[in-house]
Amino acid sequence: MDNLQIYLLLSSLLFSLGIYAVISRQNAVAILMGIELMLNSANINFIAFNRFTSNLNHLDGHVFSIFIIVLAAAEAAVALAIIINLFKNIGTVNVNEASELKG
Amino acid sequence: MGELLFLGLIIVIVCSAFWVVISPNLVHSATSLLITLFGVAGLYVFLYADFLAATQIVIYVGGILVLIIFGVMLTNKIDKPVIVANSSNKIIGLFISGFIFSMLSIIVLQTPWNINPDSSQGPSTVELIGHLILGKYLLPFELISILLLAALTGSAMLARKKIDDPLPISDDLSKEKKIDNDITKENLDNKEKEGDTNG
Repeated sequence: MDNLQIYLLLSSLLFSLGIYAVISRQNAVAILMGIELMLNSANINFIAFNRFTSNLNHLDGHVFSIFIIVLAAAEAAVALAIIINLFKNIGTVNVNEASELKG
Repeated sequence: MGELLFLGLIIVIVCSAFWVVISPNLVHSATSLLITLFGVAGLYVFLYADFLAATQIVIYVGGILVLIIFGVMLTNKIDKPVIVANSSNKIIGLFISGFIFSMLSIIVLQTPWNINPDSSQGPSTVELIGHLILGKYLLPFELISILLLAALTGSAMLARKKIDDPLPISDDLSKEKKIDNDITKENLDNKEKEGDTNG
């Protein structure tokens, strides 16, 4: 509980699970979920380092993780718009079948 | 008591994150992502980040996850009973992610971290974060608000329905349409005259 390494190990586990999802999943929405997992692990790292290695009145890590959350929201919105367009155009969200540049 | 809660939280996070990644049903993946995000919010509480925990629940669980579930529902045929999400490249993915996890673990466990001994709970974080956002980080804050606005309007424009025949924008276009109308009228008149002569 008061150990920095536990948080870092948990966040690296979440990060590698996100990498696994991005590599192995075929559905584009599932890949998006993997990316969200990776962003969350980065957030855990920021807040854990802020809690354990800085002074009490310095909360820069919290501000950075707020920025990361906002970026995740923007990224999710744009990615879902692209995925919905993909589904309208080729009728599937399987990333292996979306292999044409224009079509 | 606190240790037990922390252990249970970690177990919940790890199990639900695994199920997000390996579940064959996409809706189950989204639901386990919900549990993972709630668990991470609880972890923030253990790290004395109360404002961040509330933000995590409001934005991730209330916003992004709903968006993802919308995406799941909008990109599948509605008559399918189970929304399948296949996996491929399992061996390569396992190899790469296992390699990254082992490297990160070695780094985490072997680095002598410079830990601040005074790690008691400080004052409420909301006031300090407000001062930081509107003071030291004012420019990134404004930039990220513009970025969010651009991303949201752009995605709304990308995802909306295309209009088939756009309205005439300039006067030239409307004139051309008028000419087209006149031509078709003339054709119609000619045809009527032909019909008259034939009759």
